[in-house]
Amino acid sequence: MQIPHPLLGLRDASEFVYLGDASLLQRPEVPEGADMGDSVLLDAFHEYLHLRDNPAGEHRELWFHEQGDRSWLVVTRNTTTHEITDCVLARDLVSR
Amino acid sequence: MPDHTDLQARPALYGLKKQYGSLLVEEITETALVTLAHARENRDAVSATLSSAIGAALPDIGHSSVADDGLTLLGLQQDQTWCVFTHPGGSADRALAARLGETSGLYLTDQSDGWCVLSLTGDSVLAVLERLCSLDLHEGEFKVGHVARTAMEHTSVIMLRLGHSHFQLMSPRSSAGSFAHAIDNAATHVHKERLIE
Amino acid sequence: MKRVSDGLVDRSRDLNFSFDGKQFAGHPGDTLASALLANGQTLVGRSFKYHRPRGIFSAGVEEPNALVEIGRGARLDPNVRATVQELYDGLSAGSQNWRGSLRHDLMAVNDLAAPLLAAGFYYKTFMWPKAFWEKLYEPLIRHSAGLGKLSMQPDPDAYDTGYLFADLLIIGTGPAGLAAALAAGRSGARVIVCEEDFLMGGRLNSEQQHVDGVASSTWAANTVAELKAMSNVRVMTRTSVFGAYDHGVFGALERITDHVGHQDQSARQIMWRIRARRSILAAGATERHIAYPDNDRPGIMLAGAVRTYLNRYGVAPGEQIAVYTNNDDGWRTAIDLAAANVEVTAVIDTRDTPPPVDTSGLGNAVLVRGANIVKTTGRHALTSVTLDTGVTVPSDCLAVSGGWNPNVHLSCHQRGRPAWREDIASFVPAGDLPVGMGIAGAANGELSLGAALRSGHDATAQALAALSHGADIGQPPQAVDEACEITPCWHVAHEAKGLRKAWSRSWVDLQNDVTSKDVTLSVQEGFTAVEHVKRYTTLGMATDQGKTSNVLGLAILAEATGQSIPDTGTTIFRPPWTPVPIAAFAGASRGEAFRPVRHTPSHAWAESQGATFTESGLWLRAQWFAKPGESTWRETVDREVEQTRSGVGVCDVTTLGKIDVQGNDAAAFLDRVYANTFSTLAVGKVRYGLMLREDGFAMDDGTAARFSDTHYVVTTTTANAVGVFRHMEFCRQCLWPGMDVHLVSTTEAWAQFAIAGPHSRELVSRLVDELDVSNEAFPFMACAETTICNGVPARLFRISFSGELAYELAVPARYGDALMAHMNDTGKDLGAVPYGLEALNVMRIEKGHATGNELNGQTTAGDIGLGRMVSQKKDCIGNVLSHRDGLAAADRPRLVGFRPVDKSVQLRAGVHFVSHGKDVITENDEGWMTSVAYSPSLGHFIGLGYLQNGADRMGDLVRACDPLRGEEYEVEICSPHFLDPEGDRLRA
Repeated sequence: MQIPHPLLGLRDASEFVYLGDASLLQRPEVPEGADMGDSVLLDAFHEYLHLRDNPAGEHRELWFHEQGDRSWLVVTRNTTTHEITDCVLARDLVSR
Repeated sequence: MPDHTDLQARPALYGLKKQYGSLLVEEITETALVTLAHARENRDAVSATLSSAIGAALPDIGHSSVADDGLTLLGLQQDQTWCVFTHPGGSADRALAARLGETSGLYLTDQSDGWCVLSLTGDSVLAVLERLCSLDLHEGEFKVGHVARTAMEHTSVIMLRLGHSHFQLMSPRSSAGSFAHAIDNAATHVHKERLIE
Repeated sequence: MKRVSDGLVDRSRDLNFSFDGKQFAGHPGDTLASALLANGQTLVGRSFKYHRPRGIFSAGVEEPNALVEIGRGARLDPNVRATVQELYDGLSAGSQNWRGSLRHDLMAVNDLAAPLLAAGFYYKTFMWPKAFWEKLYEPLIRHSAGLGKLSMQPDPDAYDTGYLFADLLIIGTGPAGLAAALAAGRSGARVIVCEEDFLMGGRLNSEQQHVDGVASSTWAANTVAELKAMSNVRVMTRTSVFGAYDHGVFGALERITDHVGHQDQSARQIMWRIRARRSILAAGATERHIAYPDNDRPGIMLAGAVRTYLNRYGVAPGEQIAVYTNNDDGWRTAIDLAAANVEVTAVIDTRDTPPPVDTSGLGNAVLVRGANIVKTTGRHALTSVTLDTGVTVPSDCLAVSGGWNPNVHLSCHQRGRPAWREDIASFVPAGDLPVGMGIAGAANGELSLGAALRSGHDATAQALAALSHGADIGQPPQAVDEACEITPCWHVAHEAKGLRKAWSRSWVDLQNDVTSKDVTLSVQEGFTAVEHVKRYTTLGMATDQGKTSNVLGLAILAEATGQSIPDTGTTIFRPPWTPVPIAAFAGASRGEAFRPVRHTPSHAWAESQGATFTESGLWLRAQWFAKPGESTWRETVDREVEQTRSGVGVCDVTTLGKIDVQGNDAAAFLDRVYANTFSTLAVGKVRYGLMLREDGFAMDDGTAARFSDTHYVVTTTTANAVGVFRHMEFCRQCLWPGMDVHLVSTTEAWAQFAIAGPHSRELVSRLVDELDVSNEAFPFMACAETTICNGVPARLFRISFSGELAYELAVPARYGDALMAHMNDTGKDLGAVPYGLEALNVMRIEKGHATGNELNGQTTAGDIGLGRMVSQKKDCIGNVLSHRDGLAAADRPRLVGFRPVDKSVQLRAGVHFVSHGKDVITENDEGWMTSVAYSPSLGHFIGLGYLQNGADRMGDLVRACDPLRGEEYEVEICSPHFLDPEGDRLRA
């Protein structure tokens, strides 16, 4: 598999490490001074960490370019055809 | 390695130097490696600082720039530039900081001892590297002055092209032996196979 | 059989080879098969199941019969197709699958039992009595099963892997491939051309045809020469493109030395990954045969193969050759043979149509139309064929053509399925092609020469257009389009009567001995889907993967089920196209080079001291340093612990991860990543830290030292160094990208040593240049950047894993080896000794420190006894979910210490704790032992482990149970801190 790094071009997938669904970028906010055991927070983190869609088709996922520029990337990949239609720096996505 | 200290320094590959036909594989010692990290927003300011201090601006990722005295900046990460220069002793980060003068917003880390450096020169260098390297090293794609970090035989490697048939390879010190073995294996095979009908 | 011409073989030089111990001669340009045929060797093997005598059937990779073993000893290579093995001087080959001799195979008795051994027989046999399976049936089957034998020795050859890149990859160099390559090369694009054969040209080398006015083989040679002279074209012969993978990546196997025999210091084969922006599959087509009774005798061959042996190798495979065909192409074999003055005894066309060629040169050959073969004779070689008209024709070679199958395989490796074309009675590529792939020539159903050349040229034009590579590629090479009509005829009904009928078989898959009856039997038994028929009959499952038989088989299946061929469909195509040795995939990653080895900076010194090493992930770490006279490792390790705790010990701890954390927000960042707080850490101090996973479980522990407001150095465990760095980068880039914080891995750059024991301060003071290391100036948990040994940059940390007064000293890795030697030398009078991983482990267990055994990913901070370290004043990774009921429950297992009641008992890690009076079952499991060691300090074994409510049960006894070994003993629950619980030694 080849991953189209937005800055470096096509690179072999063996340079990367896969983490999981890009929804991991949306970590719930923990307000200053909050009670860490608060049930609303618990539910939010549970959903964040454990509940996933599992699409047969387009999937947005996180890859780490460990043997490359060490950037975290958000790759849009079709899980049935493996076609990759988008690849952006996670940092750019989150900073927007 | 010149040293006034009580301890003898030891190069990662004991000063390896080996010839395979026209191909020369040689360890380059006394190379300092210092990473310059900075916030992405500060990139322009940092580039200006470097330009005035050493005569080279921050290179784009995948490229390198060379200062007046040969110090080379490698664009390996968006917010981390690697400085490669000749420096016989330790504390290369202090030496570089002194040269740069102004270092606010810049975070230096001495990585000199974390890497072994090999030079590969000769006609067959591309034939050898294509056995090891998953990057397209064709001259149209990976030009002189281009740099990339990748993996070869499961070890990390940083590749810098210094000439049509001249590459500098850097790999982590602890696995230098395995790295050198992988190159030796490929070079031996390539050299021998050229003699087969 | 004899040489009737030179063909493309160099008859001026002889190559000597042996087959089954007998000496023969051939020439450069021969394959083993062509040389055997030239020497009159008809019988070359015995079939897989029935041990029937078999001869050479084809002239290519599709060969089902002539599987031989090449080489000897460890280099013995089984199942090599004689039709692709290049001849070289000294080649040693042997036939396979017989007992006794090739000519008189004792296993031929299987053939007599044929009616019992039909498809699926093993689902119905060898079941009774049950006890016989293991002792009798299985060994019997194992002994007679399989095709070919392995050397059973490690493969001594070297293999490489590699990476190639191209704008355009051309697969195959028949007319379509060469026309495509020529146009591509002339355009200046980056081209790679791969040819599986050792001679480029495909069927151009097998036919008496003309391209651009010259002989086809001459045109091929000229074109290859032009391609080789182009600097933008990489020509690769002896290279099989075996698979089409994602994103335009192809796997290719290049054979380097199989045509010359083993060469020292060379790779034998190279497995290339080729990434091409565009590709053209010009893989040609493979001929198929017809299923008629007794169609497998030695001497029965594919008609196109007979032409190949005649035209390319100059060999006539027989002296009285008959042709049997259902299409126009078979006639060309008769024409070429007659033109070479080889006797053609008959041409039998299943169609009742006029001959498609001028038959005036065919002499006395019997020309029959609308007829079929119903019988053949000859045990070790064909002697005659009999038609349904009653006529018997003498022949020692039968050339059969059932039509041509486009080699669609690579086009179907990415979920594609081919489509049926009625006009050529074959499948062609269709549907989802691999990205960037075009098809040309016979592979695309263009079966005539002119069309193949044109389609190759056009395919390149299209590829270049898609690449936006403008170039004038001129006109395609010119040739005639020969006739290639076909009327499908798949199989012939059997006429044999009575008893003989049981043994009268029409073979479909020659390699796996599958007959047309097997296919109909499969349908009878309800296995009608094509994928089921394949597995039930094993049709297409041999090393040839059914190249000459799959389509024939599914056509018979279609007839049997009454479905059309398109509706029957094909089985899935999977890589590899032709066999690839597993060693080629491994390349250089085998034996000691399987994974990189990481050496610590003091490795050389440790080796010189006779250290025993152990693997710790990729690292080699000194496990212990045996002294002369010590006979067990326990003796050594006990001594290292005693000497460290009474004098001073030195241990290389470089392998623990080190991460440089710098930036204005470094402190705030660490507060979010660690469970405890680091922003409150003063400059010049170190603090123990615990990291949680986001799910609330403990992930890793280590220390963080602060060297300035904006500079920390974080350590991790050895095993988690890479994972923690990755996690921290995730936090930095993905969760809090606005923070000014930067991470650099410095594990390699600093050699780090633990210096532990009552005399450690004295030793350290002898090393440092100026630093005051008194207890007041450098207390427990202090750190400093300094110099040692007259100017060597260093970092000193006062931390202790052993529980003794201790330091960790870091220097640039280039000095690591020298420093280790120096410390042991300088500290001799202090009793300095090196200690290894075992002693380090014993001491940390004595002290009650958790490591990977305790931090196994299933335990929480609370379990370890560090619950209070998780600050509730700030968010951090894992904080919220650590409050989940299950993780916060009061009765979770807690980390405690264990002593055996009987001091002589050897504790074992992994034992489970059960209370008195309870059965040793899961429901009563109260915890488990994580780490044990013999404590030289206490004189008996000690252990750490998790026990339910452990903190409240101090002094109680519990059973430690080992159901695996059927042992148990009593242990006393105690504090995990066996030594110096107050920490007096640490703070000395």
